[in-house]
Amino acid sequence: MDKEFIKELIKLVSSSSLTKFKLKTKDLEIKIEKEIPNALATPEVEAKVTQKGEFKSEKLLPPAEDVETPEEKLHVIKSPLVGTFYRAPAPGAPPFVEEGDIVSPGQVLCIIEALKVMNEIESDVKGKVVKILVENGQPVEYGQPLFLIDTNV
Amino acid sequence: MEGVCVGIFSEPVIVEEVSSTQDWVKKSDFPQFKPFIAKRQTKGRGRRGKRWFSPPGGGLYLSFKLPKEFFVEGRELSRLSLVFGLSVSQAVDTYTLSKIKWPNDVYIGEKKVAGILIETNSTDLVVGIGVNLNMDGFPPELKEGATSIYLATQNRVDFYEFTTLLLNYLSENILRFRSEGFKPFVPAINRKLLWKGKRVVVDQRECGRLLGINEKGLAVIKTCFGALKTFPYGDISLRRG
Repeated sequence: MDKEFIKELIKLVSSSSLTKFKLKTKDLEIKIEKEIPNALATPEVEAKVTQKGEFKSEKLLPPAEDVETPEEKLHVIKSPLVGTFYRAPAPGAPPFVEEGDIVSPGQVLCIIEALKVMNEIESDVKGKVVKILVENGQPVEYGQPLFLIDTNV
Repeated sequence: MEGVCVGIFSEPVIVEEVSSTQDWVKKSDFPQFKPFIAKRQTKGRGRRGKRWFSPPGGGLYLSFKLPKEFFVEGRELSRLSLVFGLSVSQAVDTYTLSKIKWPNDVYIGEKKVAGILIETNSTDLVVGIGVNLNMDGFPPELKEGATSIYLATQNRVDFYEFTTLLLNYLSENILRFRSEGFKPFVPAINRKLLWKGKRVVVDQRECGRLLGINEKGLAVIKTCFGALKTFPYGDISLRRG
């Protein structure tokens, strides 16, 4: 789990109408709570992170999971392997998806390259891409969150 | 060749010309285990959308699709990438000695003779192999880095003979990987590894001596400071000077 992802999460929650956000996986628990006593107050953001152990690179696809909040339901697409993340089939080609796009199950979201194998990562849900969490060409770890998808659309 | 099935493969489709064998095999209705072979491609492609030089009468362009479930759950399928490279190199060895540039390019001397493109989705592995058999020259931009078996040996290669050899090696190695995993291939790949023991640069930043590949198929490099480092990806080049 990298800092950037947590920062992104905090930003996302801060700018949303959410007051509570909880993400729990086998290795990690993130809880973000916002207190807004009145409309004029600035939101206080507190993030608590606990991490147990390291991600393993040898397993098959980690289970994608749902993050439930009172307001919305975000589905996290994670990397099934260690490799390089690509948003488009080739340099200069249009990306597979952009934030705001509606995707359906089986639709290719990105490619992760490992040992020169181009692994097409598909969406397992229908929904709207709320956030793309990794930059094109960046290395990704096993289990690293890649996309947040709002299935409530 | 037509009507002949080799190992795990069903009867191949052989055509004179196609846009890209890989794009055809990727289509959902193309059967698994069926080799699609062309003598020329008009839109041959390599890694990350790079063009693959595929002139008439020059090469072998082969794609096939394997179901992921053909392999035992938990087998790290990306390691097959190196097994395919080894298979091509073994076929080329029938004509002249070849080496493997990690992870899977096949070289004669310091020049590339074959390349492999592997694409996967949730169900299948689609493998594309391009081998330079009989080209007697390359365009200026490729001349420095590419060769063909003909250019290296001055002997023409029989297209069907090579295809049969290659399918045999592929089938044998795929079945072995299926039952025994990647480990048994490590010594053979290390023996054929290009620039093994030499000073190399990975991705134009990390330098060191290439020690070989490990049991996960990763490149192991001893850095200039004496530390051992493994690389899951990256492009290796020889350090000049």
